[in-house]
Parts: sequence; structure tokens; C-alpha cells
Amino acid sequence: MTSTSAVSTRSAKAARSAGPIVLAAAVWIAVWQLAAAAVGHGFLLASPGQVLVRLLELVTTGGFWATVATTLVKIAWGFVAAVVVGAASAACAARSRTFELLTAPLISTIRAVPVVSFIILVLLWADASTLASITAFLMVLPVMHSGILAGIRSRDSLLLEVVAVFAVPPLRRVGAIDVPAVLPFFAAACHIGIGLAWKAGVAAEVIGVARGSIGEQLYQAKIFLEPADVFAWTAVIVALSMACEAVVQRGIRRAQRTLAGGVA
Amino acid sequence: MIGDVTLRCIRKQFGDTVVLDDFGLTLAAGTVTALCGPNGVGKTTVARLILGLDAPDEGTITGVEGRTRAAVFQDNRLCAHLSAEANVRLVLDRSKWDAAAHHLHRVGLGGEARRAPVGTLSGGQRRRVAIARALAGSADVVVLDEPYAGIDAEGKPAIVDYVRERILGRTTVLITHDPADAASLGASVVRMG
Repeated sequence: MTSTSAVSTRSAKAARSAGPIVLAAAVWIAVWQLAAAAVGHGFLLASPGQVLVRLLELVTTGGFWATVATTLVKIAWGFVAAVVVGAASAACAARSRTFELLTAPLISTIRAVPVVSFIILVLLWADASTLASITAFLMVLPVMHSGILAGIRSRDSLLLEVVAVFAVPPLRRVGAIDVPAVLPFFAAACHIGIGLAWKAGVAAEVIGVARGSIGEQLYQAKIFLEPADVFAWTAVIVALSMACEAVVQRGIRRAQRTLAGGVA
Repeated sequence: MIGDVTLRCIRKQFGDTVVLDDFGLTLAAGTVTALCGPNGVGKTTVARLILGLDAPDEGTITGVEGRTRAAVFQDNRLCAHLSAEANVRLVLDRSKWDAAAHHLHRVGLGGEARRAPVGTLSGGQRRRVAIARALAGSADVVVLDEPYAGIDAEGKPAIVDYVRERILGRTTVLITHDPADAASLGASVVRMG
């Protein structure tokens, strides 16, 4: 049971660590305000105040939440699919040298191909509604594959000998040895992958003008020369990306704690 | 009836170093055999061959196929993030999980130490966990590589009693530099090197 004093100590610690971040953000917002004042034209560079007002206007409309949900679901699908396929391909590559050799050029190619090439190809082969998911999937897949494969390879070979000697059942080995070894690498891959998924997914929506998406809103803002809208939607994307990462990292930490709790 | 474990004409080399050449050993079923000798004569290599972790370059090993095995390794090899109890449970049949606490108690680990992550325990405590893990089950063949290394003098007699009790009737290999350890388990001694 968590005591009240432990909670308040944790809160104080969190407040202390957040302080410098808030201060740094305040400095950059002040720089932004000064730059906007120097430019003097809202249609060239919107001020933080104008963006905040626009953001508040957007948030109170029903369409805003539908737009956010549309993009969020599509990018989440792409990300989750990349995690599943990346984990499966990494597990196969760790077991089979042939599979690793076979997939290595494919993974390298996906990693090197510019995101716009994928977007154009997907637009040729599929419709714009699947664009964000497929693009996010393709951007995240190499990160997941490489990260999880490195995690599998980092397993303690001496513990694997213990497993072999005692004939530990495979599922128990996965929980006690494999997953704890892979989790830190998976957390790092998620940190990179979530940001990539949002950047590439929204870029795909902008290029494909995917209906009802955040990308479409950004495209409209560009067409109608509305920098405040561009900034507001960008702030929404950053917030969503950070929220997704917070949720995933929290889940990973919880999994680590559960595994540390032992074989149950 | 479990038969003897026999190593015949074993040759094992690592790179250019020949560790075992034409080596033979019979471990009588249900008895304790102590391998003694200076460092580098191949005691641990013999243990690894018996445990199936290495294969001989030449020669045969019989009597271990299909047998369950357990070991106290020289370097403990515990899951640092798991508790002592979870480390013992890891290698036990689910039906015996409740006994893990009892075995840890027998080697002198109770209460908080039993539930704490093994990485936070002292060297001696970790050794005790490794001993309990190896002996809590009912493996047919047991390898004990310097099992009392790091155990304090006061705690050692109780652990020796526990080991003696748990290996009764099992084919056991004890690797040790101390003849008293071999004598305490009634082992027949094989000198190597």
C-alpha cells in the first residue's frame, strides 16, 4: 500500500524535475512571441496568443475530436501492426540466419526509402483512407525489427544455459528471461517509432488529403493561408505524440514491474 | 531404475587447448562423485558435458539421455530482477511452487530476503538461492560446482545438511578443491590432473 507521504514525496520530486522543462519552454515561447512581434504580420507568423485562441476555438468544436480520433486510430493501427510484424520478424531472424539474411535487404530498403516515395506508391495502389496507417507501419517496422532483434541478442547466454539444464518451459522462459531482456530495447524503439509514426502518418495525410484527418486540416490551413491553424494543429500533433508515448512507456514500466514480481 | 552415467574416451578442446584427452569416468547411479584437482584440469568441462551444455569432440556419454538435470553453477546464474522465490519457482513444476519458500528457509533465506530481487542480495545469499534452486526439484542428475563458495562458516553446516539430504539417491557430481566437502557428502573422489 502506498503511503500519503510517499505519494507527496513523489509529487514533489516530479515537480522539481518538471521545473527546468517548464522554464525552458517558457523561454522559447517568449522568443516566439518576440519573433512574431518583429514580423508583425499574423498571416506570416502567428503569435503564441493567436495560436492559443485558435486552439481553444478548435477544441470546442465537435469536428475537432472526430478529426483527432480519425488520425489517432489510423496511426495507432499502423504502429501496432509494425510492433506485431517487427516482433515476429525479429524473433524469426534471431532463430534463423537464413531468415535474417533474407529480410535484411528488405528492412534496409524500407529504412532508406524516402517517406514521400512510399506515400506516392500507396496512393497509386490504395486509397487515401489507408495511407496514414500504411505509412506509419512502414516507417516504424524497421525500427521495431532492429530494436527487438538487438534485445533478443542481448539475452544473457548463461541464463539460457540454466533454462536448458533445468528444462524450463518455453513460456516461463519468455516471461523470466526473454521479455525482460527485450523490454529496454522495445522501449527505445517505441520512443523513436511513435514520433516517426506521427510525423510520417500526418505527412501522408497532407499529401493524400485524407478526408476528415488532421493532415487534411493542415492542408486546408496552407491553402487558406492560416498560420494560426497550422501552429494549432501542429501543437495538437505534438501533444498526441507525447500522450501516446507516455501511455506506451507507462505500459512498458508496468510490464517490467510485473515481471520483477516473479513467476506467478 | 536409473543407470550409471558413463563418459568414455572423451576428447574436448577449445581452440588449440586440449582440456580433456581420452578421459573416462563412471558415475554410479544414486551416488556422489567428487572431482578434485587444480584449476584448469577440466573439472567444469566435465560438468558441462554431463549437463549437455557442450558436446565432446570425441568419445561418448551414456546414461544422461532423457534424465532431468540440475546444477549449482560456479557463477550462480540467477535472474537478478526476480525474487529468490521466483528464481526457485522458475525451475520447479507448478505443483511444487508452494515448496519454494520451504527450500529457501532451509538454506537460511526467509522473510524479506526471500521476496527481494536477487540482485539486491549479498553474494552469500545469492549462493544460497542457487543451491535451493538446484535442489528443490527432483532432478536425476545433479552437478554441484563449488557449491559452498561464498557461504559463511556459521551457515555452512546447515547447508551441508540440506545438500546431503536433497541429493540422497541422485547421481551427483561435486566439483571441489576441499576434500572435507567431498567427505561431508560421502563422495568417492576422482583426482584430475
